Amino acid sequence: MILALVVITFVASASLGFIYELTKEPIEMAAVAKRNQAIGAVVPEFDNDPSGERYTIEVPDGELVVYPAMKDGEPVGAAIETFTNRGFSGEIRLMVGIRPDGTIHGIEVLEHRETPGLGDKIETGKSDFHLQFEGENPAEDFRVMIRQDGGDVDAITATTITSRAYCDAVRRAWNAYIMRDVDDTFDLPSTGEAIDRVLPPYGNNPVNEQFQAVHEGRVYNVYPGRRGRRFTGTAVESYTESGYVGAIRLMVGFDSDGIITGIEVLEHNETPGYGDLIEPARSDFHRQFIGMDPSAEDLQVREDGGVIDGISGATVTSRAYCEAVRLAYEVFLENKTPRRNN
Amino acid sequence: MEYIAIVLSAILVNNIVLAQFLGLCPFFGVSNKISTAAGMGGAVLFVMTIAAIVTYLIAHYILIPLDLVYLRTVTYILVISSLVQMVEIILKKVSPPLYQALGIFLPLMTTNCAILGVAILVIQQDHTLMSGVVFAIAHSIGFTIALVILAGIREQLELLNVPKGMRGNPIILVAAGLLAMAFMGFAGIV
Amino acid sequence: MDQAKNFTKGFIRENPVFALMLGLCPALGTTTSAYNGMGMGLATMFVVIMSNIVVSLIKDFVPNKVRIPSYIVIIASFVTMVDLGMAGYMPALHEQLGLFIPLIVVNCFVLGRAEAFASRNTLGSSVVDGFGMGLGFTLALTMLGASREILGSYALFGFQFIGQDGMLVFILAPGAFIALGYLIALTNKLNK
Repeated sequence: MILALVVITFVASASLGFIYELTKEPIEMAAVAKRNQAIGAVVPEFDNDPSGERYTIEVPDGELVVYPAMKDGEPVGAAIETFTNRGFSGEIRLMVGIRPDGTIHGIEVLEHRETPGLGDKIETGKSDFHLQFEGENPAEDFRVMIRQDGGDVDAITATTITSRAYCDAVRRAWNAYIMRDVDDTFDLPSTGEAIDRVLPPYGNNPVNEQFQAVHEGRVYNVYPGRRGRRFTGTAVESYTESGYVGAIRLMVGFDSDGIITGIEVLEHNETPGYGDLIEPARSDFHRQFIGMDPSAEDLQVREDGGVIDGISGATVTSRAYCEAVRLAYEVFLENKTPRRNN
Repeated sequence: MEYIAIVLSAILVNNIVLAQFLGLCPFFGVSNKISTAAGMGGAVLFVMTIAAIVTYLIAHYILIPLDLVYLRTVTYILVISSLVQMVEIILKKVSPPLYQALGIFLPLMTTNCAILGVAILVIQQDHTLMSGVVFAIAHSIGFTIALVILAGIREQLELLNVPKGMRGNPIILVAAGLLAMAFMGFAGIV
Repeated sequence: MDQAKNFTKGFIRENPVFALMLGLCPALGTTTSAYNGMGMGLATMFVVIMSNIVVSLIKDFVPNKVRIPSYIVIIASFVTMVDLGMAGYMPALHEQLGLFIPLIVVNCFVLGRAEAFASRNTLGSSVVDGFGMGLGFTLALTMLGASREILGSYALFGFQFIGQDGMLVFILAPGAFIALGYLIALTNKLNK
């Protein structure tokens, strides 16, 4: 009895293994063919191999795949595989083609589970919804949001949620692709540069006199600044893991009275266009702190009862930034008297 | 918050029977009386939760590491049918009253596509073990609610004078369609 | 048994969906269009024929006690083959049918044929039975898909004949139940 069942199961799994090997390649080919077809449909004519040259961009809740398209060695655009989790029935994946100047060239739907007859009108060929995006450049007065949300896109009738999610996916692709270029233009400062920018004038070499301070069980680098024997201020390298995407590292400078003299961002992974506005080169967010005395003012975002205006759309990041500044101040207080490392 | 979304979505918006069309055989088969409908619902809750846990462990500790995902359907259905047998035997020994209540429904579980469907969905939608369990429980509650409501409607239908051609299954299906329409009103709350 | 009768019994009189109310999950879940319904029907037909063949071949070697588990393994294997094959060669349809492909395995009607017919009859009549019942199932799903597509999108097999949106409710879940209800009423009428 057992034997019969064992034999049947064995034969069944063996033949399935065989069929699996047989269909493995066609299944992979089908996926590749579908992707290539989508790439071809959304970017201008190209003569390279976008699939072979693909790379990924990390975004808050996943990653986008970029397929660069070239013709005669010149970039003609890129197809970006993007997603949103805000669909009516879960994830929607799109392939969005963007020309080098930021104009949307074409959009194809790769995957969705929206309602047949309603949400599935986002598919190319089932309605003209996707045509609204083609030839438009979000950098030039085309807001990729549905009209109900103050944008320039007409939602599909009775399908607001799906339309909104579609815009979300397109925006995600566009932001990531455009901001990717911007990222290269503003390099974050090195430790030495950051110290130089945040500390009040000093005559020594703070990096040589660096020491490590322990605060609440974590180690911080402290860089004291002196002019002659006079202590002029301290730069504290502070960090927090409570950023929107992982750790944020700051260099915070204090003068001898504990007044903040400058803040630089050393490292972060926050969202382009939102959280990355903490970088001094991108917004004046950091200026709110300069000249403040953390013992007198509550350096928290207004939502938490403090005096700092958070970056809109990036409350988590703003909050984390404030936390790192507060930690730096606490480290500063505990190590006010300068000392030599050895 | 995530769990609340799973629960609301599973019970109201994407109701397993009325929106996802799973578990229709018991939905029409045992919905003639409210009491049997509730018993069936209890049995589904029991088996679906255990099946979701066991298949989750099998998928994540055996099938995926060994690259045997293509054996999923075979493994799951075997596991579920032996699980049903085991539950039946254990229940008989350990808790005769519970067995009395659920016993007659257990053999029907193997061919209830809601059980296998939810087991597969838990893996497809990348749930963790915890959210998978919540997902399974919420779906079985959704199943029970739909089943009990339909049973209530059918008890009323017995008393009505239905046009001859529509008597029996046709009118029950139309009633289920109207029920599904009512549930569509929950669309978009999650 | 008369083979012709054996073949045609699944069309109307013992139609798995309309007369026996079996396999309702795929019947309602995949019939948003005639094409999808037909695809699902054919996939199920393949599984029924193949499992009927194998079950009727090995029926004498399988001990009675492990009969059902063995049938389930056989059916599940063919279901997986269909699943893999469709993923490779018809990816678009495979995506549309989604979860309902692996769920063929719990389609009571497939196991029902193996248990009630193939395990008691010769290879020849089991093939005829699987073919006829599978065809009946396909017919039911195609009809249901066609009526929902005609009413819901004013189209048939993707060809639109009125250039506007149809009565959406028939594409959505409630319409599936209602359309099937009326089709069953119609079959009941024909059976008399």
